[in-house]
Amino acid sequence: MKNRLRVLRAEREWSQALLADHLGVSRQTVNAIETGKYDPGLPLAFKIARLFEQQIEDVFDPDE
Amino acid sequence: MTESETKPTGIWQMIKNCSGTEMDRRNQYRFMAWSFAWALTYVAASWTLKSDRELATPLAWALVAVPTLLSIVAVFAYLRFLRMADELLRKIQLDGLATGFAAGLVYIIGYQLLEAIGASPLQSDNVVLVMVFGWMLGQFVGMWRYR
Repeated sequence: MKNRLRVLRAEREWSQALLADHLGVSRQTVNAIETGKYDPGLPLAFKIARLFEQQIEDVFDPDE
Repeated sequence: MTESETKPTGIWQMIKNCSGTEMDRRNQYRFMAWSFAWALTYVAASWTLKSDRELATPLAWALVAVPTLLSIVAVFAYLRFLRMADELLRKIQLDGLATGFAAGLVYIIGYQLLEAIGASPLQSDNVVLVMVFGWMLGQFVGMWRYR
């Protein structure tokens, strides 16, 4: 599943560590999601969407 | 974004990166501390029970009960760590547990065939070692995959 996490983070000029702090996960988790190696569970996916004030489907694209 | 944000520089850095959040690290240390206490009392109890077979029954029971109780506490500490763990770390642990279980199963079933052709009887210590090795290997592969 593709996602726009890296783009959204870059727009705010946040580091992976800072985003991880905001989400309450490890930096490794943020990195694995950004690189597409790991798809987050629903609670974390919603948390990410809320943090960036986006709809969940605007952050994650299941079709790609 | 720096290069170090995406690629760990070595194995130890990779393991450190995959240790989860601060809370995960605290829970891991708690689990390790209980496991260490369990291992220590197990070694002491088994040495005492093997070296002194004339022990009074209550003391012998106590020597069996203490490491067993500590093992239960260590298991609960691990379950607590797992429940509260960062979701990627939990996935890595699940990979490790599945690998450990599979390794133990394959070893036990495979060894039964070896016994049929004359190998010495299966040692439970070896099964534990194979499972723990499989658990660690599975975790390592998971850390490598999600590094």
